[in-house]
Amino acid sequence: MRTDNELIKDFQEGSEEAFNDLVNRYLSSTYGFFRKFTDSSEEAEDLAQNIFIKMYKALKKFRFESEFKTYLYRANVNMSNTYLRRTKWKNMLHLDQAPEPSFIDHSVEDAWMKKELWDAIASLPKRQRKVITMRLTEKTPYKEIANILGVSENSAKVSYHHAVTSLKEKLKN
Amino acid sequence: MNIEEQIKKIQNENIDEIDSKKFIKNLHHQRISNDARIARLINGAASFCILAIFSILTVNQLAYEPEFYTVSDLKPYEEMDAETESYVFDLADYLISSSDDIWETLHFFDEINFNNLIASNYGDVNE
Repeated sequence: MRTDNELIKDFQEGSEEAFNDLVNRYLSSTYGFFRKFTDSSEEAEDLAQNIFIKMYKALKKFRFESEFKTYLYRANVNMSNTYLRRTKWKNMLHLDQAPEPSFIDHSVEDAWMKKELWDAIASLPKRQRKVITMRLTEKTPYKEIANILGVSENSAKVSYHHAVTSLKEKLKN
Repeated sequence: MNIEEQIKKIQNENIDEIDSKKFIKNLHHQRISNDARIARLINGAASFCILAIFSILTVNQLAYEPEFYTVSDLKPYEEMDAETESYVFDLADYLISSSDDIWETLHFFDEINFNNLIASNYGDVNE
């Protein structure tokens, strides 16, 4: 099996097939990442599509200074942050759509709680938001989180701890 | 809401599969239409800039340098008094009627620079 770097080199030399192979390789993880905090599969698909369109342009100038997997993951985290910030405002405008506690079934309640949790995550400081997103979506090890964010492993752990504490505080009521 | 429980729930959530062939097809379709849209926007913006620059230059030139487009070098009729006018007509009549070669006479008019006067009187430009 060809490595990511070999595929990227082929793509830089004009092979669309190599790019498609890369998409195939990372599609399910990227889609899965976005699916965790979006309401629908269509929305997750749109976000994944935007990411790969960005990759199509960016990979032509890729300089192999970091692993493609890390590069893509970093892009996913940034995109998720943008999405969360955007939907936070959107959700604030639709607060009246919250289900009535006495009439809801459990799937609706779960979906609503998930939404509330992600809204609360969207209001966290940037680093905490990134760390908790990575932990939530792919259970990313702290070492990898530290590598992606360019901080120490302990700093990543502290950010996660702060994030969970803040979330508890925000969602107390 | 129990945060830890919710976090675990999200982490262990099962994600539905995605059709990769359809996704890649849509991806390239979207990418090409995005590129086309951007190209159209750039072309539109460039055309608008060229038109705007051209319009500003034109308006400026018409407002501040109108002589660049409209030349009014006809001498006003009033420059010639009645006596001169009569003299010129008589002279011209005499020269033309007494001449054997009309072209030579006209050439003579050119030399004495009556052309401008004649032209201005008939509202014509002939320099």
